Amino acid sequence: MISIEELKKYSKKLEFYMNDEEEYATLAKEFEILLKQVDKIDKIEGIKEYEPMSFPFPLDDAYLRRDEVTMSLDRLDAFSNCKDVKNGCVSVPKVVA
Amino acid sequence: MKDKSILELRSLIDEGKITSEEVFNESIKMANDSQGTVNAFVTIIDKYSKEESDSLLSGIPYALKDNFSTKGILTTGSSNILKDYIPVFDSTVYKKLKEAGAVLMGKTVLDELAMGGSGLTGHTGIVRNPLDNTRITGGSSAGSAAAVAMGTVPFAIGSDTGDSVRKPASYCGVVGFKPTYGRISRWGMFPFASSLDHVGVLTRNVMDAAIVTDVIKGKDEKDMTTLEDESFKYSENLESSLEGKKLFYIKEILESAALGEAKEVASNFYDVIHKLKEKGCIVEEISFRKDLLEVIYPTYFIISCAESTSNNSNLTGFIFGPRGKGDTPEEVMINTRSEGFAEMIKRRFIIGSYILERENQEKLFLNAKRVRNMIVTEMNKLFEKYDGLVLPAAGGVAPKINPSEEVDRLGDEYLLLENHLAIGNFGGYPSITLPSGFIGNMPIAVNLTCKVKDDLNCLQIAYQIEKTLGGER
Repeated sequence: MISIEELKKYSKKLEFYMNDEEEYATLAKEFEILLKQVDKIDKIEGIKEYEPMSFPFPLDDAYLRRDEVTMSLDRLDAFSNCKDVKNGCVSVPKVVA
Repeated sequence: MKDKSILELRSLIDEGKITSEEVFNESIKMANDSQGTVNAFVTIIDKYSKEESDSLLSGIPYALKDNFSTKGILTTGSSNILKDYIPVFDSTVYKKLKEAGAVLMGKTVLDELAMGGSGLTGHTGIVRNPLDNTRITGGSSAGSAAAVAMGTVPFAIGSDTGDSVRKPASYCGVVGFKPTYGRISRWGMFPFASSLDHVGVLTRNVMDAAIVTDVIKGKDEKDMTTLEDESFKYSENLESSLEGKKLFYIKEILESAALGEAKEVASNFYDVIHKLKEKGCIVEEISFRKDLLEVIYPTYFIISCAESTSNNSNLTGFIFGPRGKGDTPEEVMINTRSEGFAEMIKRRFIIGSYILERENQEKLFLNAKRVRNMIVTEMNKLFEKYDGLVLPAAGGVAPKINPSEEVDRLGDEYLLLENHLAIGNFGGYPSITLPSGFIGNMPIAVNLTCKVKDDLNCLQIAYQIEKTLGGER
């Protein structure tokens, strides 16, 4: 079981809030189901004999690209979606007083 | 042009019976006319633009899911957090289609950030099934499937992480093809769960799926997961015979279709199998570990939530997207993300974050990845003996839109017939959904999944199944 307080901590860590208590309650219910399913997975016979799979299949033609200097993105382009640019930098609220 | 295939439009344009610009204008008119009911598009392009090419796609209009970057054209991921984002570079898929002379006519609605299977969660509103506006299209490639189904375009591009091309194809009565993982570059496609994400195509028939895949497949140095391209075109090699082809289906999945609509789906499926056998195809029933089948969805859910949490951590409001208010950078970020993500997305991120906690990784994340390995290992053994796995694509027709019913939430039922398509993503297998009949007025479909890199065989068999069912259009 996971508490609403714990969920709020995760939410804060992810830098957002859920809208209201009801949304946290919905999430807690979803967690309850998830953890039941996790227990079911844990009990699957032979599971520990298998390596965790992170990629669908081994790549037989993987390669490293040449270490050449290339221009990936123009600075003006990089700022074109930014809401606050000052003196060629992304502007954010002051961090230190 | 409504309902015309790529090849039909090609002939009309080449014979001078219609110009490419006229086709485009008709396409955007249909799109605009349908927005009030179907709502398939985030953006409808109002300016005809085409590059010179002698490709089969030259002058053919198409729609692109709104999670593919298009330089200078709004690309939102159907999320408020990117509602004003204008990419500064092109995705490889878009670039290749542009170079082939295909004409982009619109960017389609998806479930927010591609995390959903209903078509109900995009920030510009729900997408309604063009065949019955009271029903969903499925998702997340909702608008792309709807655009092809209503005849606005002969093809559309989607992305598929669990079944996001192949399930809406089933619900909308079109063909949905996801080639082998890495066959098509994902450069410039917004990532959801990188180890499961594929590019896919939605078309009116199998030949068109092959034609579009021919244009967009291939090695891309910008996407290190892409495969070396083959030296042939799928569309020029589709003719083959079903004689001697060996397919299998999974007994436990069909047995779960015992009641109601699922029973009708199973009946249609057995009818398809019967027809394939008449053509000389060998179709065998096999048994698969039910305990593994029952955890397909939670396995997908755990892996995708974990990967998506990480992939979307760059959405802060500082560099792009709307910026929230605040007196400190943290306040800005919290307000941006709180307002920018819908509830379901936040839930998935919190679940993903929990899964990735060091103390939870072994029991949650690593075990899910072990199950993935177990399922793929079993499937790979079967693909040594068989050309492909054939199953119903879904457990019924497109469900009714029910605003009071929460969608895309983890459930505690084992819906084997609804969730098996994720096997195709676990193993990176080529997988195609094609219409197989109707229940009432709504389409149902079969799905064919083949071994890794056997895309041509998959398309060849699908082409023959389509012919056998009389579905080629």
